[in-house]
Amino acid sequence: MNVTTPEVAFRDYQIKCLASYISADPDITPPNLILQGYSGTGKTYTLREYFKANPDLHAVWLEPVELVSWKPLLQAIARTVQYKLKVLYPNIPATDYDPLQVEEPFLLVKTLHNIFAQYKSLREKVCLFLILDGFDSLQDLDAALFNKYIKLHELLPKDSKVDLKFVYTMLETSFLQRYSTHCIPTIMFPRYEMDKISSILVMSRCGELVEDSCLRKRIIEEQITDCTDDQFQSVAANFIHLVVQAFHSYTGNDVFALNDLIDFKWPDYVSRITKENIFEPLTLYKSTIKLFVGTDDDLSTNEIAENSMNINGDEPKSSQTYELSIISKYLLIASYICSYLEPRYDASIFSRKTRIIQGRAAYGRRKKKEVNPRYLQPSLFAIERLLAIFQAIFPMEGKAKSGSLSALREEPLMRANIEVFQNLSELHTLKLIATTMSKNIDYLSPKVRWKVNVPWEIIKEISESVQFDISDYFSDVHE
Amino acid sequence: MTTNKASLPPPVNLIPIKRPSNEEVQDTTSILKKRSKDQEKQKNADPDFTSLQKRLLQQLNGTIPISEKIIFRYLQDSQQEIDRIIKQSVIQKESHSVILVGPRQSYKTYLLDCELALLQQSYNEQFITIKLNGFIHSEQTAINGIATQLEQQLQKIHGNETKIDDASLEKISSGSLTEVFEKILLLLDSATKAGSEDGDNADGSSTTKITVVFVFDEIDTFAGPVRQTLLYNLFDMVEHARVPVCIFGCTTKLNILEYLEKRVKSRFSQRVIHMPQIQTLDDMIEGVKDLLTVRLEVSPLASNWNDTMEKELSNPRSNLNRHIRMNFETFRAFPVLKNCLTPLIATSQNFDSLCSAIKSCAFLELYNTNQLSNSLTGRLKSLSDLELAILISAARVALRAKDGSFNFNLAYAEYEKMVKAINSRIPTVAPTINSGTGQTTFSIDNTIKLWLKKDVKNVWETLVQLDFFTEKSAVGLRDNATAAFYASNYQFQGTMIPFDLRSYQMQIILQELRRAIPRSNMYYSWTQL
Repeated sequence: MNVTTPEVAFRDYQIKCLASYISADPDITPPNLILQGYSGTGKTYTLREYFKANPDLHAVWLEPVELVSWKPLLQAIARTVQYKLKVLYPNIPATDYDPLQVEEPFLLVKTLHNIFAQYKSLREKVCLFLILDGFDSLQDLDAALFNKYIKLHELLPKDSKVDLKFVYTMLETSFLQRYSTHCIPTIMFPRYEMDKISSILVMSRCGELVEDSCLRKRIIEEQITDCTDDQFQSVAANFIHLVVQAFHSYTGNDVFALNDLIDFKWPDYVSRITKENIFEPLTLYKSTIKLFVGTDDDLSTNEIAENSMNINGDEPKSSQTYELSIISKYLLIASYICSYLEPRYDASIFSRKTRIIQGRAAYGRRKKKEVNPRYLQPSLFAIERLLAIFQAIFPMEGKAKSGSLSALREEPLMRANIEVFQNLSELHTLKLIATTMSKNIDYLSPKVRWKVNVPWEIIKEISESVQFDISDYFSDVHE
Repeated sequence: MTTNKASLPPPVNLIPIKRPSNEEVQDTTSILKKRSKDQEKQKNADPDFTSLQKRLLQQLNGTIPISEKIIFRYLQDSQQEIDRIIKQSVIQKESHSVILVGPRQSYKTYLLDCELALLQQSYNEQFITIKLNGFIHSEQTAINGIATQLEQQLQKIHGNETKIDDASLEKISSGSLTEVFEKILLLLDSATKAGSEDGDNADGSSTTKITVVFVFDEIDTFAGPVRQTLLYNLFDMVEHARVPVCIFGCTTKLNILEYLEKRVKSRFSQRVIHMPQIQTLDDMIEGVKDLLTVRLEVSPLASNWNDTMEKELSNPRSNLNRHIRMNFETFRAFPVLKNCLTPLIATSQNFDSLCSAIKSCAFLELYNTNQLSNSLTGRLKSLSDLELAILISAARVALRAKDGSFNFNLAYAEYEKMVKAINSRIPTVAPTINSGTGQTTFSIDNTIKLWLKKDVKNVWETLVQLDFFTEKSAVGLRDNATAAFYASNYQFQGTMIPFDLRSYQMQIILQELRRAIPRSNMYYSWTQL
């Protein structure tokens, strides 16, 4: 086996297997090879290292995720294979075949046949590896597609000098298991464990972090002069270990997430480095402990958060405003109440004339349920109920003095006017309120049932923004 | 050859079969490391060994010269049957149609290829093979596929002579589908002419017809619910065409005859060959022996190797034998065995290490471990503590729910409850409440951290990605490209529901979690309601 095996940390077995399945000799290379492993397990990296270490193996890389559908994928294969062969053998005259003509799997076979036929004059058989990196990430993936690829080699001419070998990497075991009866050689990439992850990160990131400009700047600012490169390395390594220990349970064994956290927290960490604590990891840790307590992984932009911190000092929480009108907000609140409060309590909660019905039937006893209903799916309601509750909760401020004549002309209650319906349809378009049917809705039809499509956390924020205490309505049942 | 004792893997009795502990894996990985170092040392291995190794790998990959191809004993009956039919149609110019039925990887195509290649040696130019695959060709494109292959093959037979007598031959694959199909039929019908041309340079007989051999892989895809025109015409040709036609169909469907329409079925010869399966362990061992026995002329080491291997195979207590038995009782398939033997042979550095590798079969253990490393249990073991806690909480909720479904809110509430319950039982220091901010701070932090709901959402997504949960009403992978195309434009209800309320179902239940999670784990006690 004339292949060299590169060193990839914790992937010895996989490299060995690659070396035994992928070689320059087409006779001892199986036509299909699968590498399976979840995201961040080093499939692509290992494969790239392998091909880097063996420059005599010719590979074509394609990423199905970029190609969206099966047809562009076929065309890309024809295009790249043709191009690669041209680059490899510039001395052999080759006619160009239009890759866009490949509109069917069988046309790919035909085109490849034609392309390979031009290289008959080659002295030896060569392997050309076609690597489909992330096959199951193709957007329009279907179950029949993979069958086409694994059987493609059977239709290619046996006597051709160029032998196309397929290497697939894939994420899902469930996808792989569909094709297990084909017995394609498979190399699994298990997920890393915590200690492996941290040593990988130290290996891959340390140098980069030390070279980072923010560290340089800080060193100059703090006039840290008596520090060797090794010591900087150990500062960075220490930081990586801290991040891994603090956030491993949050990120799991996801290298990418940890990398992001490292990138995200490194400048802050560096800004706490002083001349004194650079050699004392413990004091440095103590001064930066805030970084490691929370993920600070927020969707709201950092600038706003920082500004509000500067201004208010102790109130970093920025309140989301949700660009909705007052009417919309109240409609949303009303619909939340509709979805999560049982209708039989409506009379007692919203009616100003109490005791229309006498006795317990008037309000019922609100029993605490086993499961907080707020955690469950919203229930459906009719639009009349929504409008009624909306009317009950919407605050109408009379401009005129109470008791004056003009006060009589003012409406005591909000009416369901055109504005309200406009807002309602807007909420529906925003998918904050949903209906049972999704197309051609007649908003006024009594057959249409509605439900709120917003979770408790957001409705709470919205009601706070209009100073409406929605938790009051739920308080005696669930906290 | 020097015996490198250091490179020998440890004796096998130290490694019990089914005890996936970490030490064992490390043990075997250290072997690998040692081997990789060996490789660097012995870059220039001796040529005898390399030729033996290459030969073995070729045998495993099925790429040795045709005359030496390995046909397992249990396959020989069907091989003879196929052989007979092919010879009848190529030599005696009869028309036939056969369907081979057998599971995947049961050597259907292999046998056909083998026989065709054998005939090619002695009866080249007397037949054309046209291969179609139901996965790659649809019923329409198959016609074009046949036309192109006819073109290519005829070109080969006629050599570079551009003049082809029949004008319609020139571009068989041009024109509309019906035109192409007509041309094909016409060509096949009148192929006597084309055949007579090169009849002279074949074997001197007066006129030789060229037999057309069709090999249909996945023939069931052509036997769809509508019309089956292609099969009808081809089977009809078997009956009526003047040119001998032989049709081989391969399929995995046992009830393939039920797929065929009446008019198609009546034209089919009804000859179905069921691929034989491995019946006994002896068949299997015999097969492995065939696979691994090397001809003596390949390498001077061959006889030595054959002896070693035979000794291992005949000893019922050897590791190799045990692995074959394991395969026999589970997969009962040679391809699986081939897949794991390939790296075993390829990673060996010299003859001694190869022999010891086949004796210990330590690599096969490693291979099996690796194959299972991304299974549900494997993934479970790779979870971080928070991920595991959330998974268990979700499983608890799912077990309590009537329909086994749950959502993020419920799982988080359960997690919160469980963590609070544990923390309240930790007696050390009472929490002190900072009256200023209302925040609870612990002076000594030995409680379990309760992660925020928004942080746990990230964990939730990881768990969904790792296939522990499946969204309710989610439709799996579509069957074909058309369905996938429609699905990409279709929003199902689930995508509209807010993240917290989407309902999911578990792929693993609490009882299974209890068995998979080690007792030493902090959350083991949670695995019981």
